[in-house]
Amino acid sequence: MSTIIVKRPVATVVSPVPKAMGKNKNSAAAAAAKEAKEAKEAKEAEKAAAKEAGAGGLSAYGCSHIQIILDGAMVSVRDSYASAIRLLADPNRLDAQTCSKCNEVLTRTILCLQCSNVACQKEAEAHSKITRHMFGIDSKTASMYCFLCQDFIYDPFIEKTRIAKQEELMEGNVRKKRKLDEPLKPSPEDLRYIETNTVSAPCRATGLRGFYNMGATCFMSVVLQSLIHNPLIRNFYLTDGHRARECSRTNCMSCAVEEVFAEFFTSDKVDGYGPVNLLMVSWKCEQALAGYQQQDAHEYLQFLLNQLHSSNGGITDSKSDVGSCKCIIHRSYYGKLQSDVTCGSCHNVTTAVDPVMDLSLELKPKVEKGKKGANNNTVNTSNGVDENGAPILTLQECLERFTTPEKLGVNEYNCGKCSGGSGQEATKQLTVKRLPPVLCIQLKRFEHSPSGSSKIDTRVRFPVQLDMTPYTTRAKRKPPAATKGTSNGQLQQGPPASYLYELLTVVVHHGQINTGHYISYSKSNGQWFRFDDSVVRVAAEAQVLGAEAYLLFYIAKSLCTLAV
Amino acid sequence: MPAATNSSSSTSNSASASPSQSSSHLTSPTCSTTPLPPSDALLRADINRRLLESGEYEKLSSHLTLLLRESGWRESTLHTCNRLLRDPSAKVVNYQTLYAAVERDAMEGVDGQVKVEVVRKIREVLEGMVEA
Repeated sequence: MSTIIVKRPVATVVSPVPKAMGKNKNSAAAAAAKEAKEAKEAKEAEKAAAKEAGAGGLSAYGCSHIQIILDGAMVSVRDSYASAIRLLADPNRLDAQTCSKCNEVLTRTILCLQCSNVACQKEAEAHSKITRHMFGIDSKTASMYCFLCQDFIYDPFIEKTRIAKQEELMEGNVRKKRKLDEPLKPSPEDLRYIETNTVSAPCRATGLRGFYNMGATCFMSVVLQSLIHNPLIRNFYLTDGHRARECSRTNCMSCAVEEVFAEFFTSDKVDGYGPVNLLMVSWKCEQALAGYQQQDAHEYLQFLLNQLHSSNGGITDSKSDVGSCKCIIHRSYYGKLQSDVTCGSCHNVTTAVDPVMDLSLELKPKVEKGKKGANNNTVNTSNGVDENGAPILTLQECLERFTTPEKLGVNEYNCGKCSGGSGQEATKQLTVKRLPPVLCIQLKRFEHSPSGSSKIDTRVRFPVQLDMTPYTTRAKRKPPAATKGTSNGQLQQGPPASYLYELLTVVVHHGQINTGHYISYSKSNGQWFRFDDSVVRVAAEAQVLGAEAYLLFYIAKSLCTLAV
Repeated sequence: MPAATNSSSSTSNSASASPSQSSSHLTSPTCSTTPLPPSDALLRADINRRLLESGEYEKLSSHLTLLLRESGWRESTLHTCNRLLRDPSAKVVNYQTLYAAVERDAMEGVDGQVKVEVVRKIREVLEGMVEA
């Protein structure tokens, strides 16, 4: 059995000025000069940063040991670190790597910064003692470990390199020049103006406040809380996204929402907030909401998103492509579903793409049409059983069902291509063509039929980290064999970063369909909170995961570093 | 197929004999401290490689992570770490000292049900491999 050796380019961290090589001395010299200049500029920037930070007694380096190395060979360190990141991000590489010493294959190894050594924790320590290479890179998180400090260090320069490299890799090596890349340094006059004209927010203005229940309005409270704790929406409103003073719209929902954000994030009150204005505006915009009846939270969410879209410059022209709307709501929630209908006889595929702002998943398996009493679902107990011994349904299963091809009824399809006319068998498949930054999933618990409405109580197990790759159009296009690992030594790596989601908010409905109550859980600064009208409490993650979810909000993991 | 039966019996032995050892292998990044006899070590490495290549390792790993979250273990360990870091008398100054202080209790704090469930899943996967 061959050992797996990881090879990657490593710049030797020796001298800051690379040796001029090659036939054309001029160009090599120019390149060397450019690199030296770059290194010098970087060093100067670092010194300036050190000066700024040094005023407060803070070190601008991760630790004194990395400082020595960076002072001497910043560019080499950057290159070496960047190439390690590239290796770690490669989906075809071994997720688990072999320790070069003990040959054990592991999921977390330490890569040496200064040579190509890969080892487990213990052997990495030994390596550092022998070679005097003091820095290791953790293969899971790309964090830098200093063997002298015996600790993970967070160096500003290294962190900048990491973020830049990871972004570059995610965007497919197309390094989009973003406006925020150029440092927006305020001038000294600007700084003075800001100082004299602002008041800092009190410590308790953390956005953690409840809403008073104004008469069966818990369906509104949960939806509002989901927006308040949505980093994209929150950041939009807190950075003056909607200027109430300049808004001339009558009954503007955005102004009402902006008021809530201002209250929650600038005042130090912790008691409940009565959303009087919001209620009034909601009632004025939608007659059906007037009155004190309990409404469906999902319907209210759709209403609210629509209102916020139109009051924030959203395009409502039916002719233009929905996807071109640049409003904050579309930028956060807009996704696309692709529907492919395949004719049973001529195999012609008709494709349609629909815009969606959320996914609605059925909880019950569909009974195959035309087959009475068919039980086409094998009982899947591999996910465990609940107290009644019934198999627990997972979110992933619901998503799988949603994206699985289904047979259309005999009279539902008319093939345009083949001359079969009506009466053909066709299959329809839904897949996610475009994933939104914030993914909202509704579990269809409420059934409405002529005989009455009922609620489906089935427990659905959902993860904190959700991988949407298997449900995307791209993944479903691939033949099944390709999605499993290959046998030629290539390892099945985790999903591409852009398809991973992290749980953000859970909206729960307790009780019966008409007399029930809504509460929600949201994560703020890494801590889960339970929002029950005006009562906000700290919640345990286990509690959140055990809740009977109705709406689930997931945010793309790639945004999480910005989110907290 | 004697070879298949042999590996089946030896893997099921190791799976049932020490559930904590198999689950600890998944959570702990360190090498096994006790040296295994050469044939066992080779077998283990081979199984590991097959688990990785088929993508099963990743699945088992994320399932374990989910179970640890659902049982509240992750949060409780996080709180313990934070508590130790904030307590000056605990003398936790860096990653090494923190890990040393937390390791034993964290390993022992894994809910029994979680261990049983993970071992069951591993066994399921391994049995599937043997049949194939």
